[in-house]
Amino acid sequence: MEDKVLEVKNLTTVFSGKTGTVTAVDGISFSIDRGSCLCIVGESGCGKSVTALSILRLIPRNSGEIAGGEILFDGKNLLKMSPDEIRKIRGNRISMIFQDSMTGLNPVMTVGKQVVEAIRIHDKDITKEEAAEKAVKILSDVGIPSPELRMKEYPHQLSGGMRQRVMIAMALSAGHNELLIADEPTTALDVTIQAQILSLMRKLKEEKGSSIMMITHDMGVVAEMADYVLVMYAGKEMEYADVSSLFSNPLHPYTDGLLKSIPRLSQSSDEELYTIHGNVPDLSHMPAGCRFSTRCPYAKGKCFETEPPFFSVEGHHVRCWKYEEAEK
Amino acid sequence: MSDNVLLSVKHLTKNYVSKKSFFGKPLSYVHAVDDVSLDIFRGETLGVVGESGCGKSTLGRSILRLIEPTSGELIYNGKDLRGLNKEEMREMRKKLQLIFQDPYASLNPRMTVLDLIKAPLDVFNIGTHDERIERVLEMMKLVGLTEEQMNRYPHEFSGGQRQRIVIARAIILSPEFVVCDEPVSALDVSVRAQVLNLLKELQAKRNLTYMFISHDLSVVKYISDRIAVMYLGRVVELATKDALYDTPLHPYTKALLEAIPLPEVGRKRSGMQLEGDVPSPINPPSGCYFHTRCPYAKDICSKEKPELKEGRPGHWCACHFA
Repeated sequence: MEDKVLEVKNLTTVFSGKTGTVTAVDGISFSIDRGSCLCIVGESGCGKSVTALSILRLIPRNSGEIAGGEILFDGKNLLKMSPDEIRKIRGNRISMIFQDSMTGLNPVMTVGKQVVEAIRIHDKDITKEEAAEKAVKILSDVGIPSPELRMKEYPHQLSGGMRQRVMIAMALSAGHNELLIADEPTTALDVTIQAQILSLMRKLKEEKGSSIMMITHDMGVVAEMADYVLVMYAGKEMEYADVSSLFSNPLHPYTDGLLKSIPRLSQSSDEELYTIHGNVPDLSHMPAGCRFSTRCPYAKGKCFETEPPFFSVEGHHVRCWKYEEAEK
Repeated sequence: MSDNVLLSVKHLTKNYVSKKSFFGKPLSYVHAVDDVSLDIFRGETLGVVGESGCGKSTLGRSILRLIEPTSGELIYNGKDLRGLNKEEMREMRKKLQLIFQDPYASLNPRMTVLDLIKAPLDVFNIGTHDERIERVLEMMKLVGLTEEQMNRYPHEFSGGQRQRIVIARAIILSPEFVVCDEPVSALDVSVRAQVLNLLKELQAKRNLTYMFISHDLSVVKYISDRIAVMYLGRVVELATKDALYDTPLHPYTKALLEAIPLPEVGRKRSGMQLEGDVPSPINPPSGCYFHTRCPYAKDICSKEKPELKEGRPGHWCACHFA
């Protein structure tokens, strides 16, 4: 089990509000191998961001809580740690990159100060000057031109791509990133900048051997980055497989539909796009049985009654009754 | 050919004042749309792609005169839209519609679906009360909403359904020309396909002409007949979609196509990745705006501005070496 950097078992996160309790993440399990990249894909509201926040224990305490499960990082359960212990890991051994770089950075502090601050929080012995030097180096590592000048600028003076690079620089500042969690790191960026950021993250994975958990809704990004893919739908994992077999042979009807509904460059525009009917169900009114049953073209009697377990078929783990027979 | 042109945009320019002197004299401008000329044919979909800040939304809005252009001509059905007075323009607006990106922001949360879709009829005072409701129901059916939903409020709908409401409202006056400004960017993948199919179906049924603005090149390829690529306020390439995707002429188009993440595992890239950011439109580079990032740039590129030339029939490109 030593090759697993992260193991999530049966994680359940609930939020309570005026209208009752909503289970955003419902008993999901997965693991990430050391040095590999896991992409979590799904549509809005499927619980992918909540999963990431749960791992770092960043769920706001007044509205949500982790109701059950285990998160093993390097064999230790993060959920059992004291706030002090988790703080030593958060931002240090596990770093996070958020989607929106404008809200992730402090608008009234120069970029340099923020990076230096991040460095000094994790390394108490470093002097200010050394930290500043290190910050310049990290900023140039992530591809920011003339980092000495940029250090003195405020976030609003940088472009979106530059800000996202600063966010990555801050995530890297601690030096030993065993796991990097990136929540839609390129969604707000243009394609040419997105390509730059993705190759930066790939370089990081290769050079430093960091593991990456990347959350995205873009199948194109998944194909480019992932070693393994976890497809989530309405708080549950639907399919887990390595990236090439997921794309060549999607087993779950939802994965299949998702892949088919993307317009391909090779597609003629005379053909109508494949669509998944209906909408994502409301988390407070989950269908009984399989959560995808209301939109699934193959749904049969059993699908509406009992939730399918994970079946292991052809190297995939898939939560669909279609594969009950195949497993045996 | 000219009979087929619905809208001819000639030398359209939109500048914003970015800095004023103490006495209010403009000191510098943002060149949001810089001398754009293109024709939009009847019944076609013209896709406009480019990165953020390239002026594609400003172009869409200036064409409808929702933003007053600084200069240029907009010949719509033989008439210059910019020459129309307020009353004539108001009348013309029935024919010109716009679908915005964010279906959460473009619907008044205090109005019911019925009132929202009916609003254009109320504004132009068309038909009696009953006739209006009948038209609304017809539209709702057309875009795939049910009659029971007409007294609900926008917050009760999902993003995809809201975009259907927006579309119903846009087409209730039977427009000829609709500018779709990133209509599916805020939607989930599975819902996006539904809305794209709906837009295509409506185009066929009601003979609409679309200008489809998006940053997503695979969506634009799917829906468009011809595509214009914009960079820093200028059109750098304009061609039919097959010509553009198969044989792109401009280096920027090539780089853009190269950068799209495709849902294919193990794709080989040619290694053309753009360095750096889009320059600021306040101080655009001299000559060809793209020369600061262009791997093929030569001396002439920083000196002379390339014209948009028809290199092959129907394939326009603004590059010295194309």
